[in-house]
Amino acid sequence: MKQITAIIADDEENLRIGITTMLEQLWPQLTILGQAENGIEALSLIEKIRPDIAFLDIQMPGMTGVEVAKKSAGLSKVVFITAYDQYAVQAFESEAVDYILKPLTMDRLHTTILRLKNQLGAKDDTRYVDEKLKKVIQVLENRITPDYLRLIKVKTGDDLRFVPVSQVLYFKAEDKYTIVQTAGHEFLIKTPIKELENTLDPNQFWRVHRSAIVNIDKIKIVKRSFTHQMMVGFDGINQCIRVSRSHEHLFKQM
Amino acid sequence: MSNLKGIISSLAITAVFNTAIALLLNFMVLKEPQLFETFVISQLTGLSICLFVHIGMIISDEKINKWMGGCIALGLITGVIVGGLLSWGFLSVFFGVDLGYYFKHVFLYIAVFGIVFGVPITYFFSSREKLIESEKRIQNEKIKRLTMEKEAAMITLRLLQAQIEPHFLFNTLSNVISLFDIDVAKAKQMLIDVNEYLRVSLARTRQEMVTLSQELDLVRQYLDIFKIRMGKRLSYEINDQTGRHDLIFPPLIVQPLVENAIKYGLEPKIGGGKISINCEIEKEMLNIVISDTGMGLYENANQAGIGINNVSQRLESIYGTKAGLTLTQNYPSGVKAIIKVPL
Repeated sequence: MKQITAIIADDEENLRIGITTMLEQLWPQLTILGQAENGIEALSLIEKIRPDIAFLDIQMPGMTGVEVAKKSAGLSKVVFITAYDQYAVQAFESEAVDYILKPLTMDRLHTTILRLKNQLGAKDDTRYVDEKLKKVIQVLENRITPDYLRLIKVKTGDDLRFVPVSQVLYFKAEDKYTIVQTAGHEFLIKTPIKELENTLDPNQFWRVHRSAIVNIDKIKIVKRSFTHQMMVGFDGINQCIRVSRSHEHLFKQM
Repeated sequence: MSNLKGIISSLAITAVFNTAIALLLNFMVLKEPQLFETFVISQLTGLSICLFVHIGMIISDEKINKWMGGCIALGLITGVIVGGLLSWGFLSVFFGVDLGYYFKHVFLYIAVFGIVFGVPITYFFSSREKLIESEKRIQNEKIKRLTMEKEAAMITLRLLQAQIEPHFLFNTLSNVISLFDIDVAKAKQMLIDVNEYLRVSLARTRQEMVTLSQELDLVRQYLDIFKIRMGKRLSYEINDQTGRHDLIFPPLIVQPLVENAIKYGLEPKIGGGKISINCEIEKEMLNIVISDTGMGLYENANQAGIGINNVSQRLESIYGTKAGLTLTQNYPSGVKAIIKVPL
């Protein structure tokens, strides 16, 4: 009988040793040909020795287990190993490709081994499994929830600073630049207001003018000036921002 | 557009005032009534004051209160002068009055009456505005206070949840299980660390303030757990140079930033790296610098930003604007977070 081979990839050494020890006990015929401690090593190992099975941790430096599986598709059967990750669990539960949750248990690993043995024994289902794998990868890659801009990169002299958006009072267009105003500082960035508007959390940041976006958590006062112009004032700064007539309705309920 | 509407409506109101003033002056103050001249001069002066006060207010619009008074006063004086000059123009065209005579006998009256009537009328307008403004301010304050309390509680909860995040827990426990096959003593130590870390973390739900050294102890435990997991890929140092063991400090400030440094800085970096925490007192401020030599903030910036914004908001809800969190690039690589809080 042909020898069955595997590799194990996990960035934490203890966990690599842990799964190796368990596999040795449950499946002594399996030959573990190599171990990888990051995604890049894992991929080159798979490409080099083409093992029957690759046990891949999902979160690894260099490249995630999902990326490794995608790039090495068809070369090995993949078993994903992951700590709690609800999206991953959802993806796996609906599909045939196997996964193991950390902490690993003997029982669960035994089930995985039985499934692997079945799949390796069957000759014609490789394409079927590959299709399933592709689907799982797709689900895992699309799990990114709408992600708002949370840190603004600004240059101050030679330094690169990251300003948390919760510190920003307002953004205001000025010539080719956008002013990022915090309580203590004023920074200039090149991102136009229009682009910022699309990336900021709309529940926290309101466009109040063609050239201004304000952080509503930081508004101290909404006033009408002597000339009936609606203005918003902020904590810790004297400068006000004009609200254009077409955006006044935003503040009507306040 | 709303500017123009506002100006026109207040010019109209001013014209009514002007007419009343002209009638008043004509019949009750002046010895020889000259209704036409009094009416025209009163309108010219009044409207010019109104116009210039408006211009003053538009200029001061972008600032709150600070420049308002000055701009209004300047508008008033300019209005009086321009109104006076217009009045002279009117008198010289219709009655051939020359400049010398005008200045001697007429301008002073215009200036005095302009200011006597102009000040209370301007005050009337601006105080009416302020009244509306202060009502709104009170309402806003109420809403803000209520939402802020809720917000602060939410932030604390989010930070606490992050501290005992499932991914961290399951990965750590799986290490402990593996360690029982490799090194029992190490496995025991790790379980003790995890136990202690959980106990202290959960106790934090009931504590508003702890001491800095307690907080650093928790961070040390957290880092020790990761040191077993990441092995030689992680090193750390904690330097507390404050020399004080009783420094009051809020929980959930340092730990989330250290967690970020590991999760987005060192864990994804192939070679790993180092975390340094330095605490010192400078000019009545406590400075805590957390730096790592990790990946830096790039594609992961928005994910990492969740914790950073939470910490920043939490600092603000505790210390107001007196505290601060600054994030910069660390050299040669990684991120440096600087926390400053008043003592």
